[in-house]
Amino acid sequence: MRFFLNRIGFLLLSVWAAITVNFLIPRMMPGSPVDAILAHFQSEGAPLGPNALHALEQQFGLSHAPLWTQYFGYVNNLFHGQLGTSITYYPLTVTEVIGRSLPWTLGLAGTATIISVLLGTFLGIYAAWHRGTRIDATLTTVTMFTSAIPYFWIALILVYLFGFELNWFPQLHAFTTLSNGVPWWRFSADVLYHAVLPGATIVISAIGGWLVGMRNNMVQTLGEDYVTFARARGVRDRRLMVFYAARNAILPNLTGFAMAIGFVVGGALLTEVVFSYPGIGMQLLTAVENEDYPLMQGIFLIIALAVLLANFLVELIYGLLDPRVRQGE
Amino acid sequence: MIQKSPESPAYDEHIGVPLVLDHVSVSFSTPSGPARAVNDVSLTLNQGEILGLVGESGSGKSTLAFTIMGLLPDGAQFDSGSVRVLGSDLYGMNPETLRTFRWKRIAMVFQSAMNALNPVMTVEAHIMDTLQSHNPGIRPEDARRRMNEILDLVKIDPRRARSFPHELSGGMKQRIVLAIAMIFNPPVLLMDEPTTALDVVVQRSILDQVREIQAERQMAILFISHDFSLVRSLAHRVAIMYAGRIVEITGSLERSGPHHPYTEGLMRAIPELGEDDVKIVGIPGNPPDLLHLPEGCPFHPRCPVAFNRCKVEAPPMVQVNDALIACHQYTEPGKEGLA
Ligand SMILES: Nc1ncnc2c1ncn2[C@@H]1O[C@H](COP(=O)(O)OP(=O)(O)OP(=O)(O)O)[C@@H](O)[C@H]1O
Ligand SMILES: [Mg+2]
Repeated sequence: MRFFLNRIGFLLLSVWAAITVNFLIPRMMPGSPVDAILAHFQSEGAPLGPNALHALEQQFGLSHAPLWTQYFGYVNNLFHGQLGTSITYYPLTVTEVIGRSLPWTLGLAGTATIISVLLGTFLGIYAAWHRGTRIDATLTTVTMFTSAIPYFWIALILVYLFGFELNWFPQLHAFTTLSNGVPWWRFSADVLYHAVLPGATIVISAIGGWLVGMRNNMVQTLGEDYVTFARARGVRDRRLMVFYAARNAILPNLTGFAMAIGFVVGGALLTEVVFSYPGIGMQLLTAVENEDYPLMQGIFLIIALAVLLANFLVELIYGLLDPRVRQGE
Repeated sequence: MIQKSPESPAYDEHIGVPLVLDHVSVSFSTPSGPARAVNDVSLTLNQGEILGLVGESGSGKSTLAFTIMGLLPDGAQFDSGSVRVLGSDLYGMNPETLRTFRWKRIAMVFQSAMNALNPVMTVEAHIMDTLQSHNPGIRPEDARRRMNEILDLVKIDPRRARSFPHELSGGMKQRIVLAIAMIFNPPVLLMDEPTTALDVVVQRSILDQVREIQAERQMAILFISHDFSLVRSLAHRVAIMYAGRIVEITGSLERSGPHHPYTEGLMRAIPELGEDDVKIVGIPGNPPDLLHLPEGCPFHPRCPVAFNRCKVEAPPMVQVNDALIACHQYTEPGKEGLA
């Protein structure tokens, strides 16, 4: 319980820090983002309405109110889910834009990351258990190779081979523009079909790291005395492998899992770009291209929060798995 | 499980003998070639006997113990010889037979009891795991009763069973490892430096318990240590190991009386109680590198009484009074007592 409260406290503190940094950075930047924004709208020939202007002022400190008043206004807006108005998608708010892109990113990068973590970990356990055999050597070499290939390269190769040459999978987008009224299962199948190539890109490039990391940790735990002692006591292989060797080998990987899961929210930028996938990564690119500061700021905040939350969850899991952590506080 | 083998007529004699090693050799493969950590070791452990095994660090004591358990680490290879426990050839068993044989017939207390317990499991989980691995259908209340019995045996409060390893002191962990080794009342027990990491008081109390349990159950114990005086107070016979070989097995632990020069060196290195001039003399030189063992007797470069033959020919074991000694002093009649 104390452990839990402790972690919660830390989470709240770091969330507050992230929010505050997010507030301060645009105010400390040389040049004014607001000028950029205003210029943008001017050139589009669509001057901002007074409401939007007011929102911008609040967000970027154009107003001459004292800093702390601005700060409270900003925090208050945050609590009401207001991250400002997107420039690119005006009049949509940043919250709306993120709300539309996030499910795609979570669905694609989230699922693909979980698959690569699980698959990589299982294969790593398997390779370590059969260490020194041909299977181990093959698995390790192949995945070292795949994780050494640049990410976007895998994406391009997959698109070329399976999308363009063989035409097995769609080359772009998250779904076919179907007419309204298609049954939900046709739509789901279509989405899955579109997710295969981008998902495979992420899995192929990420799985090697997990596999090799887990394998090496586990080879080490397999050499620990408690594993030999358990074998001496007659503990069966399966149990030895899971509860003694793998159980302890997973612990150092948890932090890595947390980071990976957290960064999922940031979207798999290159994959999304290559496949024109409408996720957060695409939006981030769009935001940068259009100098859409509110959107950028919102996306960065969401990424930071997701990383913090994932870390928090992993620490809780860590506490469950490792009694030393639970009591070490 | 006991198989008659026509090739070994000596087989029948060994039924029931707790432990018989016959010309056992084990080597580690290293980048610069095989390192023979156990070299042609033969010895017998009798019913109800505590046999001490003494040697410098790196002489191969732990490797020998793991060999006897059939638990060679990665990179170690069983080159030749045989290990018979209660008449059964350990290296002739299939893995499943070996799994069930081990711990019921022969158990081991590890040198590093500090690391022998899984950090994420309670003491109770370790004990239950052991019981269930050998007896999957065991009733929980029987298992718990057995757990309390063995914790009692090593004077650990059964409430401690809920603890995780990091919550226990070194002495407690050592006792728990000992308790787990005793869980099936094995007739043969290997103890690899069971008290080296502990302070003298804890060490004494654990050794007293070992002595007590051993006398009560007539177990055969191979007790490994580099502490010669400790072994002398505990064991009936002592085997001395040097560079992977047994150089002497003796029942006479007095300084007088024929010994291998290495044994004499070990004995000189400990102070004798009640001696006027306490003079501790170490053995000059360093233990040999297993990859570059000297020709002939491996001890000859450090031996105060070595002569020409020692440099070319490895000495065989010969009986000298109560002892078996591998030294050319005793194989060459004229040279005896040269020291
Ligand atoms: N895994 C291994 N790989 C290679 N060589 C090893 C390995 N384990 C042990 N050795 C070598 O085998 C020899 C015997 O080691 P062992 O641990 O059996 O010695 P020991 O007599 O038990 O020493 P100590 O008193 O320090 O416990 C040493 O030279 C050691 O370097
Ligand atoms: Mg040792």
